[in-house]
Amino acid sequence: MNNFLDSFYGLLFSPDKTFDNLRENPPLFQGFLIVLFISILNPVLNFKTFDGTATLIWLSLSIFGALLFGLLSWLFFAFFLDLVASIFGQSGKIKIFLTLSAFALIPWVFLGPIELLKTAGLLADIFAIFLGLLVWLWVVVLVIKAIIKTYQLSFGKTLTLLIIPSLGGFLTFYWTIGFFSTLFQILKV
Amino acid sequence: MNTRILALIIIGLCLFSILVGTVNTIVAPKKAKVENAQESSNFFGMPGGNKIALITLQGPISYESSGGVLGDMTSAESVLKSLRRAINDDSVKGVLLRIDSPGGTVAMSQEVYNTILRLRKKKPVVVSMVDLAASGGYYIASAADRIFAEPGTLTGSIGVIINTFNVQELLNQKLGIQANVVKSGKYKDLASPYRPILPDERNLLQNIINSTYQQFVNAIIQGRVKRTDNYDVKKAVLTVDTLRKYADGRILTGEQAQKLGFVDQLGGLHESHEAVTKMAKAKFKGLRDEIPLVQYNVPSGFGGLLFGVSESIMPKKDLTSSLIPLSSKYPHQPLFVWE
Repeated sequence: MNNFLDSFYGLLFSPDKTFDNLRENPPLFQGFLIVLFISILNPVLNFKTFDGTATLIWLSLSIFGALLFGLLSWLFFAFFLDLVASIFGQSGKIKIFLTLSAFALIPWVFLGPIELLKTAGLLADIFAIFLGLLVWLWVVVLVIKAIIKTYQLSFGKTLTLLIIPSLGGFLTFYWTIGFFSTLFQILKV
Repeated sequence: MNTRILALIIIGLCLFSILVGTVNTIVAPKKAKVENAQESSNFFGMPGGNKIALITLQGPISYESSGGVLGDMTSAESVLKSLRRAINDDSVKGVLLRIDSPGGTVAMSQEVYNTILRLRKKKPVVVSMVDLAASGGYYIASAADRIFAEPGTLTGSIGVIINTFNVQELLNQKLGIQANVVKSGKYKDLASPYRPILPDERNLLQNIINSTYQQFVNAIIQGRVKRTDNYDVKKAVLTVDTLRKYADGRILTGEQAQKLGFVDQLGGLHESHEAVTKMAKAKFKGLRDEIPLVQYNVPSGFGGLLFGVSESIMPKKDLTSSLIPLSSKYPHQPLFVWE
């Protein structure tokens, strides 16, 4: 528990040092619990009206879905990036990245107070949206830091690592279009 | 050690805020939902809760939308859309239709009239006449459950008109222009402006006028004389005899119209709002004391701001068009219009 509190505080105020410490001895189970907690935040925070049993059933299903989606996304993201990192000869650090990327999600807990702020009128609502965007940016920065720390890459290489899947997707899309247009040309003839 | 306490406080506060949000949703369920619905409004300023829809009809009644980025919100077409929307909008508990119109085309007046009759079956409709609700304006009003007018409002003008021109002399003698018409039947250029109207043509037009006039009278009988509602809001009695006597195209003040039964009560927006609220409460049980009156075809809030800007950039009405009689704009066409 003490270690977790240190990591929690450290991640908010000195993320580099905290990621270094977590890298040395990655607490994967704590990461797993963080992912579970963050995953159920969204359905709980979007829980606006309570109309009895139907709402409870709907909420339970939403939480179950969010848990499943959150866990699968976490695992997919980690395994996928570990695979891409092999380009730089840095794969095989899945346990470290799973832990660090889970801890990088911690700022999402601030959505709790931000959501409460939304009940105070339109101006507070706009302010809350702005704060929500800041939290999102914070998480993105921490995830990038997690990649840098896990695979010991420079910032440039990390950006390349993140861009490669998009480029791959674009290439696949381009080839698919090319394939079908050629096919249509042949059929036309 | 201090950092751990700080971390605990941050986590505690976050969890507490989530808990407060959740408990608030569970503890104040339906009551909050209903009460908040009364006041809450969306980004475009339209309250989400129960409301009396205020629909404004201004200007000539015709199927014509004019300028403005958002279009003319008070045109007959826009009013028609709003009335149709109000029929199925469960949050609308009553409709207050403000009319300021000299009348207009026959079919459009009838379409609005019939839509009000359909709406009236589901929720109360009260008309508040502003400066002028004559001819087609009165035709539409007669479909409502109650009609309110100010003493100085001009109304009545029950009748039909067709306006034609004969510019033959001007063209031939002054300008030296001869019109040549090739037609498939003798009445194809009925009421042509290039020649005088013939007696048999006049008879044909008179028959159209008579038929349309009868439709006007029947509409008032159906919408007003045969009203059978039980709303505890004063209604004037209009007899068929009185209707036939005064349906000769004459204009009436609101005060005269009220005495004769063409209008139910004298009053403006305030009085008509009170009346429609009372009727809504009688129709829908369990409504709160205050049901807000909400602009339904003219947006308020952010939408209102946008609408205002659009109006100032692009005026919706051509000012010179108000100087030209409507019948000149729609020649050869029977009109429910006062001019």
